[in-house]
Amino acid sequence: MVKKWFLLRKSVQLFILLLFLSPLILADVAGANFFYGSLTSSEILGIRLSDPLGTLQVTLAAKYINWAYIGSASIIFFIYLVISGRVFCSWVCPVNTLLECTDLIRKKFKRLPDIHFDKNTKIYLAGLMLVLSFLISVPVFEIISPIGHTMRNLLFTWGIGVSILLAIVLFDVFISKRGWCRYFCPVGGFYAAIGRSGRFRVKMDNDRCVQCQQCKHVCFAEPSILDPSIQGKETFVSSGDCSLCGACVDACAHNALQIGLKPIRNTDYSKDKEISLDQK
Amino acid sequence: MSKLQLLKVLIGGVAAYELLKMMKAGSKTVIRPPGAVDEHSFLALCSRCGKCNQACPYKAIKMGKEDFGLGLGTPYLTVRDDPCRLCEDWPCVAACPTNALTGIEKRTDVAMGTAVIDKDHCIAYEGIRCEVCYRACPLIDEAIKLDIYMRPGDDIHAVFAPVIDPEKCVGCGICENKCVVDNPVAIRVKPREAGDLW
Repeated sequence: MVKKWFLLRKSVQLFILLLFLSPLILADVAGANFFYGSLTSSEILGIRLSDPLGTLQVTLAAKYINWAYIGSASIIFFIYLVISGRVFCSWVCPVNTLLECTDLIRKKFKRLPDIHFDKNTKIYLAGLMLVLSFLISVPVFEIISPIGHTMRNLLFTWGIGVSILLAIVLFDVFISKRGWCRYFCPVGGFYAAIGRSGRFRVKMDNDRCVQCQQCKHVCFAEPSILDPSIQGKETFVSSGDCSLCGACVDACAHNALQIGLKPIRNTDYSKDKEISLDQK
Repeated sequence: MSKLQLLKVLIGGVAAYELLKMMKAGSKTVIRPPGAVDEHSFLALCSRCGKCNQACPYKAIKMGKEDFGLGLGTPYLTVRDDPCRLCEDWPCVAACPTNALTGIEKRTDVAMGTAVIDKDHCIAYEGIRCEVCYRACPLIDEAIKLDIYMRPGDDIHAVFAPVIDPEKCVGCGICENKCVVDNPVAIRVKPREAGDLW
């Protein structure tokens, strides 16, 4: 079976990496390239784009409102708000690109422990980062962010924050399967918090589902987010944790899953009919 | 969220607060790029995105490592290796998304630091006609002037001593970069001092 979404997602991840590396390859002065910057803030064809969580931290830390900066973050914010928050995680984030390799190691050594934590921890941590930024007057997560460190190592300063990246890789390999992304990353937490309003969702066709649980085995986010759909309680996977990686769609042998546009008003009355039939 | 979880987050937050405060006290004073706001505001405003680093045509702006404490990822210059050339269009200031670098229109608006001459090691003060820093200074005859006087105890030779006007010096560091004396360098840029927190 062709893993359609897997190939598409890998291509996008590679494209994003090449886009950020392009100033180093294409231009003498990186800032003169058509695109430059990092995931914290970048510029494409003169249009500024900034990371919404970073912008919130800086604004709270400096207690100063810079509308141009907030505007540049709003562009990114609304893109993810409309598509689905955690699309950032599985399609863009370079740390996830790195951590996906830990899954390969875990496939070889199946007896590694997998401790589960509360998937909402990352949302609380995102809030904590904002509060600390306000109190200490420093954008706290920007200093420890493994995403920031990955960008810095790629683009500016080799050897910075490598210990943090190493710790996260070790944690994901030996303690908890994809634990950093699933439970602790504040950026993922921020996007999970706005994830429910995304229009693109995983759609479940319960007539085709045979309850084989294959989708849960490959899920990047918390596998339990698929349960309501498998049990037929919801047509579209509603959890903000879903990163639309498409692994479940690829894994389903019965074509029960697809990624589709969720209508703004719920025009799917099939569930209502079922209820009314039960009542008779 | 259960009470236990709330407690965990709370304890973590308290510990982090204390730790981060200690780290901030350990932040270094370094030479910042042109237009940097006061150090305390700078640490708050700088999003550590690195665009100024990429915008600098001379690759003079470097990014702080772990030894910068809370200044990790913030831009700085080591002017002995790579001074600020005070570009006419201020690409680093233009690149900054957060206004951590701001308010520069002309060279005299810059206040990165002040050059200080070590008169014990400067060969010009010994009577040699060096003048390298004076000639290299982009604000020649403003930031660095020559004080010409007869060499004490010598009726034939004069001393061409460079003198810095701290009011005019912008701290670009071109003098430190060009200084011919090494170990120690006879002219060094002292970074601007951080203002009061409130």
